[in-house]
Amino acid sequence: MIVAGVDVGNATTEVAIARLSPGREPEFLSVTRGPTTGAKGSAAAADGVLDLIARASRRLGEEPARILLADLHPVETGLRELAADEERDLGGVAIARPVSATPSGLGAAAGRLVDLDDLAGEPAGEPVIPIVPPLDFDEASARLNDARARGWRITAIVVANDDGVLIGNRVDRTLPIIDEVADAADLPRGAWAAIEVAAPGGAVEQLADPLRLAVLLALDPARARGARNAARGLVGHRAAIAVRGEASSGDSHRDAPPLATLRDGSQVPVDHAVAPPALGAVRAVEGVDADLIDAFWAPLPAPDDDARLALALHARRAVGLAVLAERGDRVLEAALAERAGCEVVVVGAETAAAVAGASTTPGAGHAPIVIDMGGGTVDLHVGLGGEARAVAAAGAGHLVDRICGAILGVDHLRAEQAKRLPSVHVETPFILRHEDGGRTFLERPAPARCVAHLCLAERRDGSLDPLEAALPPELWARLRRAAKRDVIAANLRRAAEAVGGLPAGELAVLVGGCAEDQEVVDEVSLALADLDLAIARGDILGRHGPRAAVAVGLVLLHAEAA
Amino acid sequence: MSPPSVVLAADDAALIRLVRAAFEEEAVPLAVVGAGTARAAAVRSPLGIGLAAGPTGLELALATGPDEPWLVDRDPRRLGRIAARLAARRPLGELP
Repeated sequence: MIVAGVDVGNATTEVAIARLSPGREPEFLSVTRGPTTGAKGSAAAADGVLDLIARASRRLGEEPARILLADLHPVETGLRELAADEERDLGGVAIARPVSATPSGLGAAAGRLVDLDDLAGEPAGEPVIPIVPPLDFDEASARLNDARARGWRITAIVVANDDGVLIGNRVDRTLPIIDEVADAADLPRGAWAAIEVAAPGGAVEQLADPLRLAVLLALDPARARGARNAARGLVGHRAAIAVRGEASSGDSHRDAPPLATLRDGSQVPVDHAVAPPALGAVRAVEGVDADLIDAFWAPLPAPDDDARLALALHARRAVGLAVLAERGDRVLEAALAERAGCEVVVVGAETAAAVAGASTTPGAGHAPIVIDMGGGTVDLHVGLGGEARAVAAAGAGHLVDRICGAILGVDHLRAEQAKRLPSVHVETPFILRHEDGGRTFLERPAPARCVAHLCLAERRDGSLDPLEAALPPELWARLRRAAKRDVIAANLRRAAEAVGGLPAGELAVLVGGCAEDQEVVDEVSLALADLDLAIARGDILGRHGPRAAVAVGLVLLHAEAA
Repeated sequence: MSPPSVVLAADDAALIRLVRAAFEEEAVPLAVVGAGTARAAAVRSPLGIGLAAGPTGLELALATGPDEPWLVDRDPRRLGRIAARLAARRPLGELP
C-alpha cells in the first residue's frame, strides 16, 4: 500500500510518500515540500497538500491509498506595536519626520504655520513658519526675502520640494528648513508648530524632549506630560516638525497592552517589558479567540551599543506574540478525505513523529533529545530510561520573521528572506561591505536602486535586494541573531524547564526548517552550552537535511502500529 | 587645489542651472566643462562620476566599468541629484 505522511506546518507543507509491505521496512519513494496554503489545520491547507501529493503521484505513477496526519494544533503569530503613531495618544500633538537627507539650518524654532502667499500681506505680529508649495527655488527665495524685508518674523520654513538647502542659501543659512514634506499641503494653516534640524549625523534633541517640546509649542504643564509620546516618536530623526492640535489626555488608556490570563486566574500584560510566563501557563490572551496551550512573546531586540536606535525601538513598545491553540475542529482531515478520495488517518502527536523521523539520520539512532524547530513551535522531546517527555512551545521561525519584519519595516515574506540571507551595504556601484566589515568588488556596477542601501544578498547568484531600513549590515546582523536568540533559544530554555531539564552529555538532534539556519544552530548550541550536549543537525533519511522529520516519522509510526 | 567633484560636460545654460541646483541642494561639488561625453567627463572627475547630455536625455557615466551610461534621465534635476548622492554615498532616492 502507498501512504503519504503529511506535515502541515505554519510555513511549509511536507509530504513523504512510501510503500508499505507486510514484514518490511517502509520504502520511501518521494519527499517533497511546498508552501502551506491557508492556516495550519484549515480546509484551505488541503490545497497545498493535494497539490504536492498529485505532483508526486504523477511522477511515481501511483497514488496513495492513505494520508497520514499528525494531531495539529494551530499556531498564530503576530506583532503588536502599542506605540505606533496611529495607535497612541500623542497628547494633541501631530508629528512628522521628513525623509529628506538635506534639510537646511540648525536648531529648533517655533511659529505659526502660514502659506507663502500670506506673506504678501501685512506682517503678523508673531513668528511664522511659511509653507512653500512646489515652486521654483529662486522665486520662493525672492518672496521669502521680500517678506523678511517688510518685517515678517520667519523663524523656520517648510518646503514641499527637495529645495531646503537651495532656499536656505538664498534666504538665511541659519534658519531651520525642512524639505521634501510630502503632505505640506495638509499642514493646518494657523496652527502653532515647532521645527528642528540637527547637524549631519545627529538627531533632534529639543523636539525629542517632552518639556522642551511643550515649551516650544506653548503647551501648559498639564499637556506637557501628554506630549511625551510625540517626543518619543521623534527620537533618532535628524529633522522633524511638531504641530499643536486639540488637547487630549496623552494618557495610556489607548495604548494599554492586552492581558494574558494564566491558568491560576491571574493576569499579566503582554508587554515588551514583561517576560512571558512559563510554558503552558497562559490559557487566554485578550483579543485571541481560542483556548490556549501556550503563549510566548518577545520584544524587538535593542542594540546595547547604540542608545539612539535602542530608544527608538523601545519607544515602539512592540512585541512579537505567538499563541498555540487547543485543537478545534478537524476541518483539514475532513477536507482531505472528501477531496482526495482516500482514507485520512491521524497517527499521533507531531513530537512523536519528529522523533521517529529524526531517528533516520545516519548515526543518530534513537537520540535521547530531539528538538523540532519549525515555523510555529519549538517542540522538545526527551526520552531516557524508558521515560519520554515532550512539550511544544509557541513561537519559532514565524515569530522571528515578525520581529525581523518590524525592525526592517517589511512584510513577513520579505522578513523571512531577511532572516536567512546575508546582508551587505552597497557603498558604491562597485563596492560591497559585508556583515563582518570586509569588502568585495563587483565586476559590473550594482543596480542604482541598491546603492547606499542595506541589501539582502542572494547566495546562489549574488543578486541584491535593497531594503529601506537605514541600518549598517554589521548592526542588522546583530539584531537578526538577537531575534533568533530571543525567540528560539529562549523558547527552548522554557521547554527544557517544562520537562524538568535536559540530561547533560547526551545527543540532541535538531530538525525542522529553522535547523537549516546555522545562526539558529549556533544560538541553540550557546543556550545549551553548559549541558555539554552533542548537538547535531538531523539528516532525514540521510538525504533531506533537517526537514521532513514529521512527514517521514508519520509513515514510520504508522508502519510500526500496523 | 580644487575639491573632488563630479564633472558635468555641457553648454546648455538651462541644463547646467538645473544640475547645479541639484548639487547645491546636496552640498556636493560640481565642475562644469564644455560639451562632451559622460564617460569622458567621468574620467576627468576625481570622483569617477560624469554627466553629459546624450541623445535621449542626461547621461550619468562611471569612470570604471562598462562604457555605456549607468543611468539616463530626461529630468536633469533628478539625475543631478542622483549623481550628487552617489558621490556622497547617500541613497539615491527616486530613480528614472
